[in-house]
Amino acid sequence: MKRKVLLGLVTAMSLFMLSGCGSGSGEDSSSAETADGRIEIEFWHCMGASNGELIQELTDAFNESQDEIYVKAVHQGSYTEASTKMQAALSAGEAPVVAQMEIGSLGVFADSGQLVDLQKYVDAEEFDLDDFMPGLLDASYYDGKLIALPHSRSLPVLYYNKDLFAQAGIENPPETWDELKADAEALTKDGVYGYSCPLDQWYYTSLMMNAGGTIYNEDETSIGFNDESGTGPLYLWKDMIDAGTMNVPSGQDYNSSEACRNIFAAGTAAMIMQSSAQLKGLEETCDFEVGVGAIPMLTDRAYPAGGSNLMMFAGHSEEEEAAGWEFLKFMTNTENSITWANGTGYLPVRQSCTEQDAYKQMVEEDPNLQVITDNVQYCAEATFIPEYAETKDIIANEIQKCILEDNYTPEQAVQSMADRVAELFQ
Amino acid sequence: MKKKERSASEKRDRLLGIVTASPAAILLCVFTVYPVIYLIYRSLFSGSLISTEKEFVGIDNYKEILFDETFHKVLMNTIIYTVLFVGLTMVLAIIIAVWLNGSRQKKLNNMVEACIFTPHVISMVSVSIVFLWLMEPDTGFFNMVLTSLGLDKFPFLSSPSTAMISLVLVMVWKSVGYYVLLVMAALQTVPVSIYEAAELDNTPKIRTFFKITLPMISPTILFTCVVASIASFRIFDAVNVMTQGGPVDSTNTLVYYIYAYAFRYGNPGVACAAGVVLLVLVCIMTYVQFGVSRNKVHYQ
Repeated sequence: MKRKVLLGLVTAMSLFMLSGCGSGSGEDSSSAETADGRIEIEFWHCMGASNGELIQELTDAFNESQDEIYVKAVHQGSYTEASTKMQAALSAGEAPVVAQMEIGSLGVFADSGQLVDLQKYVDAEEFDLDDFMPGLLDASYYDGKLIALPHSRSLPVLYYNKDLFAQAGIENPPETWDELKADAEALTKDGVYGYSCPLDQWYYTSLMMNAGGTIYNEDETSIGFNDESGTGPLYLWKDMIDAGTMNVPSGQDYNSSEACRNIFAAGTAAMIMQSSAQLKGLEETCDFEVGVGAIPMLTDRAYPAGGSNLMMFAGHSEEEEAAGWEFLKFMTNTENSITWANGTGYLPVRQSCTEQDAYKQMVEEDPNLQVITDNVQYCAEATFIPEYAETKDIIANEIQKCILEDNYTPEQAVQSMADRVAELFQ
Repeated sequence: MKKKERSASEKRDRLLGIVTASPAAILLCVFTVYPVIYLIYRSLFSGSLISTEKEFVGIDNYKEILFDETFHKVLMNTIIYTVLFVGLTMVLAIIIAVWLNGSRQKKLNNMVEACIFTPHVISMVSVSIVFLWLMEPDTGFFNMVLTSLGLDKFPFLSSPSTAMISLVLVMVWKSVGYYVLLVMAALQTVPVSIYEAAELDNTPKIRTFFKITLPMISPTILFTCVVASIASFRIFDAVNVMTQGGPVDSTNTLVYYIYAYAFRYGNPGVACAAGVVLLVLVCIMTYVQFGVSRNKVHYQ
């Protein structure tokens, strides 16, 4: 009996090993030389659906534009998934040469020395960095090193339903918090909410920055909004929810943003806060005219940067890195930046974009784009330290606790954020 | 002399044993023993997954989770989830299995069986996405039904007080079919003669159930309870897709906490420490399971 079991086990194991061999003999995934002598490098991106098709088209265009380098674009899922896979790939020594990564994850990779300092190429070629929009290039530096180029960048904006605005007799989107409250009240009727926003750290942070706060304090020992700039947005949301003029979309993280856009498209929320990158998608799905305005402000105008950068990962040969640099330049040049912005709603990353005819035509067709571009200058300097990921979760957590649970005041929530973030720095 | 001979054949047997068992043993070492040892070793270090420098920090990571309120909440959530899930699943599985077993309508039986079992083979991620739509508080199907019946809307996953029970309901819907099959298999091993004797005595149906059926299948029930508990201690997919642990950590469970620390916060040391805690808890449950199957499960 025992023997039979053992025999079964051995058979099963040898089958398992055989199948293992089959998949193991595949090609080296990170980099290789193709049959026609071109250097092959891998490029990971996080773009699905139509954005994914466009990024593939741009990659194809790069491959056709020359015959030395072949770039293989691989979709790795959402920003979070891609970052997880990247960490696993790095520890296994299988990282791609170039990847599109969410800007917030910059600190994690840079801090452990996994990113290539691009300054050497910039110096060697006298590559013009000044053409990049200043607010966007800030998020490309870590410890004074240039380790990324801006690519799929976005900022939070306020979308509004122009039809509902016209019905309520409101002409322009709200500029200040008071106007936001008043407009939302005027717009709320017949099952329509005036305003909806995910209980997410990005939108909270935008409002907090517009009230004069910063994510971290100057010494980087805790948060920089443990005052009225931190409690203000929470009071604003609480008041509006109590007044019945604000809807809270269900779900977490990206789910809640999707829910938020759905109720806007369905016409049940007249104003929502979302990423500027959603512009094209919203304009397509909504059967009413979509307007765009800046996030209403209290005292200042500043936004936390969003979206992703292109980064080059260390551990490859000089040849491969040089090939990666060529690809980086191609993806972020003026022409492709406009193509990318036009097809997706991400920001044009270069100042020279605005002078091009293609861009001018684009803005003429869709004035909403101009509103977005006008706001790029307010993107605040980013501090993407490795603690950023956990900080974001702590903020989101406390916001939700404050809004969803009774007897937890904004002061308590912000104090708790301060304490918990301070712990990260110990 | 004789003694020596025996030991020679013993040696040969031994060698054969080692040779034949080694493939399995090697795989076990590579994929189970080594990761466990590395898990414990790594839990004593700081530094991210990708950083080249790791610093020995002793039991600091354990101290961190021990004093972390989130970890306490996560542990509590995992236990609450397990109790609710196992309790609900087993009660439902027994009721459905007994009903199916007693019913004589073959066609209906097969259909019901298929319907109940189907969710088990669907991928957890698709199930999660579908339920995310169904449970949408404003526009979701469930709330549409509730409001059309004149009832209040139920917040489902969007409120900290109802998110956990919503998650449990989805998981019960998904896995109850599997447990129905297990219980049905057990029911078929109960000798008909006992039921015939009960029938002769005119025993009421309910009494038959509690005095005969339940005790006869109790070994299987105990066994499946433990297996289900171990499985639900490791819940991850549904949490990751549906709630990301929220709102306000109300559905944050042990494995999701481990995932967040390892891959999102770049702190695998803490994740490993939490992993060791999970390992110990699952070991205890497995021990209980062995105890149960040794003492209570008797085959006929």
